[in-house]
Amino acid sequence: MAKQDKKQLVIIGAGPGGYAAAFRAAELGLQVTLIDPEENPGGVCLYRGCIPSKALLHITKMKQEIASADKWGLSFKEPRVDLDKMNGWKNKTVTKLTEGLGHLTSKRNIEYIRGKASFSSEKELVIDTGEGEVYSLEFETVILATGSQVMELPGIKIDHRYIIDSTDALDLKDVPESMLIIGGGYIGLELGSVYASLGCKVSVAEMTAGFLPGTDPDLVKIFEKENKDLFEEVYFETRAEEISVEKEKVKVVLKGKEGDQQKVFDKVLVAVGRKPNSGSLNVEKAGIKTDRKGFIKVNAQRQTNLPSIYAIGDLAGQPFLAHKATHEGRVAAEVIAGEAGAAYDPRSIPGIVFTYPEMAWCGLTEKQAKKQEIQIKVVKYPWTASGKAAMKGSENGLTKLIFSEESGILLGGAVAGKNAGSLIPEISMAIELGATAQEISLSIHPHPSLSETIMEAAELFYGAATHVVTEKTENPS
Amino acid sequence: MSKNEKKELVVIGAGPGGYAAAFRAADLGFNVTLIDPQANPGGACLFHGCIPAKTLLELLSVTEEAKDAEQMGLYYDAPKIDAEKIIHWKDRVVNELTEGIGLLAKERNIEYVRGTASFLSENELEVRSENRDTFHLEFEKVIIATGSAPREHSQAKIDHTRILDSTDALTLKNIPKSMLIIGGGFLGAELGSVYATLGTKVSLAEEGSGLISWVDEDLVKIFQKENEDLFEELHFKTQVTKIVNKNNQVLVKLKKGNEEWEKEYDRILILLGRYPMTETLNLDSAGIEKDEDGFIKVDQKQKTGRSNIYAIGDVTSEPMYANKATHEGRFAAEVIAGEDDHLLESKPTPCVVATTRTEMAWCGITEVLAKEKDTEVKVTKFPWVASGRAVAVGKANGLTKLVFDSKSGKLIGGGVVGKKAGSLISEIVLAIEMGATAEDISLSIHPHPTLSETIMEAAEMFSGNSTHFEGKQKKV
Repeated sequence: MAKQDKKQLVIIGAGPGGYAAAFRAAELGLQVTLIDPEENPGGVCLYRGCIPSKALLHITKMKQEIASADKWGLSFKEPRVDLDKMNGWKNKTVTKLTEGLGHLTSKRNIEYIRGKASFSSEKELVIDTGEGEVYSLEFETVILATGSQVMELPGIKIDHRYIIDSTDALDLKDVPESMLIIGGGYIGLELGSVYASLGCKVSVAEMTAGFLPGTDPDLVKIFEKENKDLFEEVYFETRAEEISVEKEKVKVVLKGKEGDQQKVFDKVLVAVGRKPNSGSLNVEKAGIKTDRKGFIKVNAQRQTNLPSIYAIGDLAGQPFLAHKATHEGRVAAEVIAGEAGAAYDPRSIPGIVFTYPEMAWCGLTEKQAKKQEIQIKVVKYPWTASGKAAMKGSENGLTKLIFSEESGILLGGAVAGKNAGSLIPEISMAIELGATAQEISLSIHPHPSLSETIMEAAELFYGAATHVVTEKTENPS
Repeated sequence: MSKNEKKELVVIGAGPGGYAAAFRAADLGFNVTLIDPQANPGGACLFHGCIPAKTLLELLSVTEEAKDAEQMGLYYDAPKIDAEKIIHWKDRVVNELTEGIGLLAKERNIEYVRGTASFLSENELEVRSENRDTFHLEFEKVIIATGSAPREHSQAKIDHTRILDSTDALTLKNIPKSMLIIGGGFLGAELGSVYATLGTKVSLAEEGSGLISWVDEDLVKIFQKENEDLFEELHFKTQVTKIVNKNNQVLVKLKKGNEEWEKEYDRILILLGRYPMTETLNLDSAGIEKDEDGFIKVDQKQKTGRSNIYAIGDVTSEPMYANKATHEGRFAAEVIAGEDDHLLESKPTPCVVATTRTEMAWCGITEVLAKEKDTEVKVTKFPWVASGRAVAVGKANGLTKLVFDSKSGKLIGGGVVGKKAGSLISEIVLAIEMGATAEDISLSIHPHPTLSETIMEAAEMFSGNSTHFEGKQKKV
């Protein structure tokens, strides 16, 4: 590795945003240096986020599905659970994927530096390999992609043993008898589902009045209906305070509407969200502007206030989603390579909560429409009218589309139910392509499939759908 | 029912085409009479086709999941299979759905006549109701939607006891020890996997070179590989030359090239496709023409040679898919109401084949079709080993394939194979319908980690390498 020469493009952070940017830039002919503390690219998403959690959630989903088969005549005995093997599977998945990324990196002639980078000026970085080697690196252009980190709560120290964060939880070293999850967002619900299905008594404490604050309540309702028994206790509008570890147990005081109550759990999982990882970069030495919350300020090209420095992904703003970071990474690489018109201006960013059942949404929400004073028409198609949903008794589901009232153009969508996440890419694509209700209803959908609910919801924009009568038709007979 | 007044619109056949036409017409203000022999609308699809078949596949796929779970650290014993309960569950699904559609017909004030209809002239039908009561019905307009029926084998009469058709097989009354399926189309693969999962030793004989051999080879290869060990024997390029009943078994003579052999099976299941069902309609009396394959001839507006008589669905053309019939049905109703501002021409109709293990789906101009039509295309393929989602859930044996028009860069077709592959096809269809280019698709943010990312990455490959896959594209 040549450390002395000036690098054409340096990317700091090799998560889904950073490596996508690196790969795209290399593809477009740039000389790329990619810096990350891990052995291979992957970042939080692959090492301790989406990928390991989805591997575990898939196992959870299978377990629940197989248990429900008794209803229709296939009775399985409770499975023998081999936690080591489960961990092995998850770890193997992570290794396979991150090694694959490492392989792609070298194939694309990207210089990979294992270490941490921070600015010493607006033209120079300091690299710390973590093994005693520290050196500086000059660059022409930089993309910052250091992502985000787990947020802690004031007064609660994560000891990674009794009081754990999501990374620890994904390690799945053992299944405690009882666990309190602080935070009823998607991480809390997903990890809560995993532990509950493995036999842990999971309780949840959430500060706001319900699960998934900010999410369409129509979706949350469906999740709640299916998961009445998933959690041992659920405490809304409750803060967890005065946490202490005594005799290998965690004592917590829950402060809610009904006063304070002291509870004891084997473990407490803090899942209150994530914050941008801008602190370690020394951005002030380069003069890069951040906002109050620590996000780096960027324009549509993902350029910071310094023309040669870009920032993408979790660092550049909400939502914290790998696929948003990937998209931004590719945009930034294209801008740097001089591709005309490259900009970050998505109409729709899909989000999926991989619980059982799943909840997913994209584009404009009803709430946003109200705030922005956009006239919308909302149509809801209940899965009770779907043949596919009926097959396994998953009628508790909803497909909801949000159209511009005037033009009939699709602006947003939301779905909840078994495998609901599989419907959101089509809705998201329809929004990006500017599809109208008529275009969606005229697109032939496979039968029987859940995607028919999208088509029929679109039919509802004009009145009745084939399988739902909303307005009684006038018929003189 | 008043039998004597002239009916405004009669729809013959209440399958997914017929009832969709009836519902759309009623919503547009017509007085609709819907005629079908069953107690409720639904047709072959709901009573003995897609719905019971896919229900069984869905229910039984759980046993395959349980096997898969082992690699992930969940050990299941083989399940206790309660066939009665499965049948009951499946029948309940069919009943609930068909009763639901019956209710929707009522709510829409559609007159439902249980019976069969045949033409007396171009404006009169003879209806034979279920209680054998026969009466005449004058009409202004008719939509024919009688669908299709299973084809028989030249060497055997279906006796519904040992020599079965798909309808018999779906009742699941008996799980035989051994079964030979004649025909390797999608029903052969689907029902074969159902019986194999229930413990039958299933063999299959097909005249063509493989399962579902008319679909793109690379997709079929993966599909076949994933499913082949469900079958006891797979005989391709093989003819069945003789079928006879013998001592509670069926003796079959098979011929492959110069090789000929005999074998006995408990049951024979004949799945040789379907033919358009026009025989009871007495089309000649109305002067309606058929083509040499027996399909009713219609124009682009689904109109037959008679200006007041329309036909839709299986009775008019291939492919015989419920979703195609539904769209034609709604379209015909709109034409009759004068609301047809679009044409139904060359729609990318999706098809999904499922077994208890895996799925394969395709739509639009596939690579095979492009070759036939001499269309210059660029094909991109994204293998699922490069998909984080597929690897994380142990389903890396899959492929997502997109077919673009070389000149315009527009998406014109696609295909997918792998677990849950069917869930990807609707997005591809919509993209084709919207005239999306590779760039449009690759710039649409797809959720991570999902299988749908394979569509985005296949689109990225149109102009080089995708984020997660380094591969060459090929031009046809």
